[in-house]
Amino acid sequence: MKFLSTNKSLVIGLGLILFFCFIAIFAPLIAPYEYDQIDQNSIMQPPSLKHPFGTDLLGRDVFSRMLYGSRISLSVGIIAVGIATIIGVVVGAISGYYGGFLDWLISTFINIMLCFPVFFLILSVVALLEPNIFNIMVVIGLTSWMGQARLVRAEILSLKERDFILAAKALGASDGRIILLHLLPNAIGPVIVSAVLGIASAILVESGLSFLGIGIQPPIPSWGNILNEAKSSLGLAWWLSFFPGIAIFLTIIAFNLFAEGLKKYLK
Amino acid sequence: MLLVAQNLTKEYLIEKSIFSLQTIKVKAVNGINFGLEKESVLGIIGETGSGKTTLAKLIAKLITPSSGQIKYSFCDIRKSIQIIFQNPYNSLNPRLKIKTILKEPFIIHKICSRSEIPARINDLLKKTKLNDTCLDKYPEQFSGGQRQRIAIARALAVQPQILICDEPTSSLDLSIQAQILNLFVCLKNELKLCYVFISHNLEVISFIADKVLILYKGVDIEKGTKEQVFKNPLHPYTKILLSKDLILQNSNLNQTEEENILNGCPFYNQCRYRMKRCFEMPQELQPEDQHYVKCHLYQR
Amino acid sequence: MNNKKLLEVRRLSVSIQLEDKKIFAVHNFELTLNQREVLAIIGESGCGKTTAVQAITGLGGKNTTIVDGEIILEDITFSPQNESQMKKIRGARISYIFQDPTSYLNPILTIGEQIEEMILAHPDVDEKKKIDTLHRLLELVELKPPEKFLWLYPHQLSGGMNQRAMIAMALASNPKILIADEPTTNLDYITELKIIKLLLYLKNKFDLSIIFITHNISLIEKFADNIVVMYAGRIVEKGTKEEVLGNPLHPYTQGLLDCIPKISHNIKQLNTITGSVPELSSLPTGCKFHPRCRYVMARCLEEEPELYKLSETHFSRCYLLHKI
Repeated sequence: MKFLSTNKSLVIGLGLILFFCFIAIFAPLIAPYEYDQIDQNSIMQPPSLKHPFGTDLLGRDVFSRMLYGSRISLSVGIIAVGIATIIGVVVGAISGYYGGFLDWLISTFINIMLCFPVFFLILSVVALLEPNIFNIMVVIGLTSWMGQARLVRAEILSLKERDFILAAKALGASDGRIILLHLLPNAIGPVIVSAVLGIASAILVESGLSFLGIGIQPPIPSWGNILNEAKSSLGLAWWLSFFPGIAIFLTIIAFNLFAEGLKKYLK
Repeated sequence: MLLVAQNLTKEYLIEKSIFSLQTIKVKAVNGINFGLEKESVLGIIGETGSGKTTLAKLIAKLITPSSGQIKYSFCDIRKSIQIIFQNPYNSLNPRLKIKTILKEPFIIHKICSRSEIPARINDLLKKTKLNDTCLDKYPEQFSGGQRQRIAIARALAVQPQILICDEPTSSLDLSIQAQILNLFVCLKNELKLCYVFISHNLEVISFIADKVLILYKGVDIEKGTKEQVFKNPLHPYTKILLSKDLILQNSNLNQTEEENILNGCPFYNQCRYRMKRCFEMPQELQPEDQHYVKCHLYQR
Repeated sequence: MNNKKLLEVRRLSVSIQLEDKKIFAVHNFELTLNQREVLAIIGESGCGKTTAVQAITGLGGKNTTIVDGEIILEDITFSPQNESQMKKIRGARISYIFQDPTSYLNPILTIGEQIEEMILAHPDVDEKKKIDTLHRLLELVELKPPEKFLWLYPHQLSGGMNQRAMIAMALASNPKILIADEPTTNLDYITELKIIKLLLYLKNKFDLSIIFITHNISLIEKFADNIVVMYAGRIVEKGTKEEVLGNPLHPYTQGLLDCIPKISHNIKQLNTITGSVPELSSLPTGCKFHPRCRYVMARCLEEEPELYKLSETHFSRCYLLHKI
């Protein structure tokens, strides 16, 4: 109980995240309708008992589409950040540990990558490729590893000189062993916090892409593409923009709160 | 001789500022010679800035010398030389349990079969007077003295011949220091170890060392047996260290006013006996058997 | 030598609030300090020396509470719990020098700016005379020429010079008492000697009193007049340097002095004090040292001894001295 009061952000954030994960996993069981079930008699209906979040232009139940949409948002967020973190940790660790010319080369490459406006880079790539969920995950992952790499590199640069690392070298530990067993476990704290924040960011990117029409394509629902459909009817069908908007907002807040709480907890 | 250091030098480049291209070379260790005999303790008296930690790393082959060399009488440096660091709060990985920390040397060197490891670890704990309840704990749960014992146990796992001790008791309370020093003596006798024991504390060196080397700004200004150096100090710096009172004649209080003598005697600016000759680095002289000094005062 | 009494501390007790418990870091700390006296406080980690001394200066973390105590400075009584009263003493009458000057000096301000801050903090200094005062202070601590050192940053100076800059800052407000917490621990021997000589010179020139914390017995031999020994938050022995070092009464003092190696003492093993320092959160009953004491008697477990007197100056908190 004391844990709860001193770690409010952590607990609330985690609670919300688990809530969204739950609905994502059990969407087929919770959803009253299929996400592509068309009912031509209930086009553009406001929220009612039959359709708690209303219906869209094709008479599909928005509530069900929202539930299935959570699957897209969360999986894109988690997998994209997973890819980015793996690349970032490997690159950062090598750069920080070996130093010298290799470090200079990698750092310069990171700095060049950071010069690109990432969202536009993603836009261009996605416009050229087929806009399916897999491509989107990979593209976001491949363009957002730089932050993690820098964090890992910075931590390793400072940890490298600590006595226990020298002791491991004196014991004859190999470079790989030192990086994996000694350096990374001590460097991982900020990386985890950054990864959690990165999930929020990735969800936002995917929603943005889908909103612009080049992300997840209908009929597969994504919170972003529901918002896209809402564009044309902004004044009339408030429920089409309100619910996805709130969902994205709450998810971002959840991850940010969790990251804040985690940062405090790991200290 | 277990190892012999010949003309050991380590230089570091220090840039003057971001805007100047001038780089200055600082010799952390400058032309050091010494030998290490079996089952003996070489006490190195050095303070902050004397180059003692650089010397420790050179002997342990963690860094390579800029010039000069160390000749070892054995092949596997990692199994023959181990090092104990000054700060017990920094020398153990905070994320690992003690049992993992102590298992590591066995795993790296495949010293014995996996099943024998627990027994070996228990033996190490007994030697360093640690309780086996410590195995499941993390370093943060231990005091400074206990962490040093753990560090010593880890070092002993590979059964080294030489233990380099870089100010191992300087961060500890006086009563704990006594316990750890006693432990070092016990282990030396029991395991027939050789120590390179570095400290700025003369009393500690007088307790544990057989031979003494005085390090000043990277130079081995005086070497000899403990009795020789403590009873008959030759170098002006050694004399100051051993004197009982506060008298410091003829010394400048300001380092910035020192004359820049790049290749001369490192003690020039503090020395009451300085002469023009001291602009040149003194040769190593041997005023008495086994007792060496680098000082122009003893030049015939 | 009849020096007048400058400082008296009575019944000082300080508690610290840890996460889940309250510990008494200092209990019933009492001392008197005369003009031109150098008092050394020795004790191992956790004995409360830094807490006690910071409480006298009015420094202390947010978790420290001064439970009791009275400070009489030049015949005026101050209450260490009273923040506004302590502000008047701190820096003005009592100055504090920290252990590691490089951590305590502001890296982005020049030495001149930092000393100036100290001068201006105590506004009985004339603004016009500020530069003169700055020069004078730097010259006092042998940072000459002062015009040059005013503009330098801490990272441009050596450890010894930074420590001297800190001493200059401490002197800026003409204090009567200087408290130095291990001021030379991180310095090499020759620099240490120079700093000690400087402190002695300043003591004589300005009639200062100095309280310094150290664990370096040879330094005490060279520098101190009187000694206070602390253990588990209490003073266990106090007396002149000759009395405490020559005839230590308290078993802890004896044990401590005994376990220090000495040059040309050819011994195989050092004497040690059995056991270890108790946690402040779980102190033993009665005398706090009794579990480690070779002279322990039944009384020692029941009730904590007072500071018993051997002479006008030599006291020990031990029943050995108090025969009934």
